[in-house]
Amino acid sequence: MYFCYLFMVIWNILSFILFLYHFLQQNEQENQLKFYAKSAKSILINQEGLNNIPLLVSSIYLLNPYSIGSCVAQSTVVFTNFAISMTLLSAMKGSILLSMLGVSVGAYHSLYPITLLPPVILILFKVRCIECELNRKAVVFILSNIGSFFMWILFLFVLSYQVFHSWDFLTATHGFILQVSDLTPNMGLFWYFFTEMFEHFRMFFLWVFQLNAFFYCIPLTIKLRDNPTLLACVMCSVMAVMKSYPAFGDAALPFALLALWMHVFPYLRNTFLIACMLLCSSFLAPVFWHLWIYAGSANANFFFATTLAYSTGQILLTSDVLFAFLRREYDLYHGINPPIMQGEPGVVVLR
Amino acid sequence: MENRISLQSSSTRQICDSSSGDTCIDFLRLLFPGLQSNFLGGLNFKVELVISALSKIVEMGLLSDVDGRKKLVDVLASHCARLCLLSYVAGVVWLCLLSDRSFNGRTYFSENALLPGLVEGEFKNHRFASDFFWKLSTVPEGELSVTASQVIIDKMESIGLHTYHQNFTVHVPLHDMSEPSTITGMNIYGILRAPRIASTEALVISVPYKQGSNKGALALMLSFAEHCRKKSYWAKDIIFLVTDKDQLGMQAWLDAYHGLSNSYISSASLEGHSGSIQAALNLEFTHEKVSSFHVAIEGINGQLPNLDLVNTVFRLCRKERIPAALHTEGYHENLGTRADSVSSLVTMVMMMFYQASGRPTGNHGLFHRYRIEALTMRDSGVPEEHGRGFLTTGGVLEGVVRSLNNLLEPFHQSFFFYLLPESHRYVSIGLYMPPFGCLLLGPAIMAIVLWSSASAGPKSVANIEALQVGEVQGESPENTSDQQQCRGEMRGSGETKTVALDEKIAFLRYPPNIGSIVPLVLGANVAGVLLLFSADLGYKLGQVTGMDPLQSSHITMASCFAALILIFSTGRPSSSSPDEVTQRGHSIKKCGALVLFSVVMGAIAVMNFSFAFFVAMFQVPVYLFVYPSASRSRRIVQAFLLLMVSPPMILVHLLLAFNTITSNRDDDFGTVIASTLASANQAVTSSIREARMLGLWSFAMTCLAVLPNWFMFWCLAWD
Repeated sequence: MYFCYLFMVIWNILSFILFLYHFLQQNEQENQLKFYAKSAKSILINQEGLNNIPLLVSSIYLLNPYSIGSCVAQSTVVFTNFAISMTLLSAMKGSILLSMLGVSVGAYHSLYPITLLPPVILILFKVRCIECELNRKAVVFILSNIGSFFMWILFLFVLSYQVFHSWDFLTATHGFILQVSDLTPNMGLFWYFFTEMFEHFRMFFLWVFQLNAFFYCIPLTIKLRDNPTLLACVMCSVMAVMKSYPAFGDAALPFALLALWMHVFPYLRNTFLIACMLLCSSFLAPVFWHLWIYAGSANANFFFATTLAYSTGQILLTSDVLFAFLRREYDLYHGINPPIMQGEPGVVVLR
Repeated sequence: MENRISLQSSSTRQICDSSSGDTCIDFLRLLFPGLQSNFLGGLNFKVELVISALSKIVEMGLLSDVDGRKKLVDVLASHCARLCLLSYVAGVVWLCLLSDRSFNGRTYFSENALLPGLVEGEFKNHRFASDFFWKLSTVPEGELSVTASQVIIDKMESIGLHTYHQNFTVHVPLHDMSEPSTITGMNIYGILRAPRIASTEALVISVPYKQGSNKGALALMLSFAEHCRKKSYWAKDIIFLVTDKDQLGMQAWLDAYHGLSNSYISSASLEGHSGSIQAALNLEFTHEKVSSFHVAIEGINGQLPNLDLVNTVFRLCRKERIPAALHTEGYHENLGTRADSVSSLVTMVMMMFYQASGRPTGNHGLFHRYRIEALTMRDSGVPEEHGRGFLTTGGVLEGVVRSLNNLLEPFHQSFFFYLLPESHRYVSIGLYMPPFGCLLLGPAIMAIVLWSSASAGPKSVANIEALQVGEVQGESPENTSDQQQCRGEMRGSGETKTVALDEKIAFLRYPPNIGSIVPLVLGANVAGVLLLFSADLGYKLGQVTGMDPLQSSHITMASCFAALILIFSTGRPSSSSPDEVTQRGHSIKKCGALVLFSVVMGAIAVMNFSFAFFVAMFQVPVYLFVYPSASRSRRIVQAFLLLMVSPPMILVHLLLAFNTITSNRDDDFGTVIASTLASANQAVTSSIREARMLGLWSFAMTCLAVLPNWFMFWCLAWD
């Protein structure tokens, strides 16, 4: 029952976010309209499509087999998803304290949502109409954000300390996440790699894998600094793939948020391939799990192959959405008709 | 030699140290110091070329090369029909060919610890067996009575086994009114403790009581127990198990042994336990003499025992010179010159029939769920004057059990997924999966073509549509003229530049509407779930209204199916020539349905290959053919074809084929049909029952995976 309640809360909040979100997007589109090319009219976001998006996102999240499954399994991933959606919502509303509370609850609960800090700060910049330049005002704003984040997370830690009267819970939670001491098979990439590896390389690869999970934050923030909402969505999907113990529920959130980018879907290049990969891996993973763990007739490699396909599919999807977004931006300013070079229509290539 | 090894190791170290690109050249130079330097230079150049080509591919992005992909899709689109047909035929023919000796392999032992037949046979206890056989003959046949069970228990105790018994009660789900609703029974088992080791592992020899008809096996098992009692080399406990009420008793015992509960079989907990069971042998022979063994391997849900166990049994039968066979092997003597090939094909297909049913072919099949390798050895069932006696059959049993006794770890070396065309030839998963992939290649190609047509400009959609129609009606003259007209229009439009530009941005104007698949998939799956529960619903309805519940459940299931078919076929063609948007909607729907079909079939094939292969074999051609159409005749043909490959009809087709193979030559077609229909009816009922009691998946798999797919195409046919 408890989980069902939470589920409802998440649903409400998600739909609310999106309501606010399209307001933002429309605003930006109106601001930039004068710079757009004439022929780009057909790819602009229209109001009718936007009105459907909140319902669409919430129904995708609710009807997604992944989120239903994680609810049935009573996975704690719903708490993380709740924290993330709260973060995004309050960032859209421009509330520093609440959004930082969301990030810190997420980070406190499963550590990885700490990578949402840059996109959330950037969203706050945008909502509060503060110029993102290197001046005194911006620096103070960033510092106040980070300060409130640390305040919240310290508050949570001290609260936990009050419960346990020792700091042991840190190694049992964040230490457990960072050291990957549990190699029970899951949909992630860590377990197989660390089971197969020699013990003396473990420390090195642990650093490599964990840094990999956090590192994408930097280049993506630099590239997408003008589109923090996309940045937040991309960070969610990176988290879902790169974290040490990913679950199906982790992927449910980025899938739901994907519907926000309906307007870039025509630019996706590998939709068919990615859909097939994700479908295949979602169907085959339980089958191979059964054959390996229960029937004993298949082995770990079968299951690992599907998790690999699953992760690859998700990464391809994320990068494809990113590409599609950039490609659409290009077309918005240059028109949708490809430039004619030597009598032939040219192809726009991302370098 | 030593020199060489040191050289290699040093070169390996160098590779680890150096980080330059041409380490492999260094490696070669180190290995062959006398090699010409200019040759190496050439090689170096080639390696660089390959590396640069690779980096170029990575740089361009294989996945972002849209033009290259478009060419590929164009080729697929222009040969779609031919490719689909070719891959289908190739898949079926390829699988049939695999039964031939030139395409499959000879079985071999992977597990070295088994050492089959290495020890000298010591079993000389045939007198004991004969005596006990005659003693059992005095016990009246029928249910396991108190006297009969006392005879068995006394014998086990006198041998010196730790003897226990277990009572169980079965509440039969969906039981017929003429049958009792509860069945009670008793399993008897004796444990021979391994003399020098703690009871951590065990082997099981089980004998179903079968109303007292299984006397030969029972006598042999107990005489073997007596023989084992005197030996000191056992490393595993041996459990001698007599089960009552066939598979129900077996399931009750296995559940209790593993501490599981079953809501339909309430079994008393076991008093005596042993360790984890490594392997099990199930024996069924009625008479004292056995002329040939029939080895049954197919377990529940199509699981198979490890091939090593099967090999061991066949090897020891050969050693004791008792013919052993699978299914109909050796039964078809008058087949002519190609007798061998045909008979191995028939044997393989028979095995696939049994596997596809998902039902265990003997009590051994229930062990597989618990990761226990098991098989059944049967006699032919007719009394044999000149068969082999207990001395020989006991020799086989002793050999197998001693081999199993040698095992150091659970069976894991050899294959778990295989088909057997002959007792000593096998087709492994690596050999039979490619034909299946070939079968699913057609749907995959068509899905790709439909996807590209759904996201391309309208002209191209018209082309695809014409192609589809052409494929179906054998390139009738009107269609070709249609196509020509189409091409003519394209050429006639003159301004090629505008066309090219339009094509370039077609993907923006006409993005594929993926969302349109969702209602179709949801509706079809809800229909599947409805059908899954319709049997129970009908049964309850029958109980309430006072009808025969079983009959009422059959009627409800059938009427539910009919009602769903009618509901889904309400769609009417919007107009005689649908506009482009509708056509693109159809393309994307069919594409989604084909992809789902392939994925579901692939997932089932990993668990139960035969089930997936048979279903795909029937459904693939029809699914490729089905497309929303306005022409009345085409719609009728489509509906007829779809009905012919609907899951209940597939069951009837398969049973018909099965009965034709197994029936006598003199049976006329009428009797075969009658028996087919009767067995189809019985198969559905028992699959629902066994789903509850034994954990059979066939019914659920059909309702939740195969049927939703079929409903999707049924909707498409009427769209």
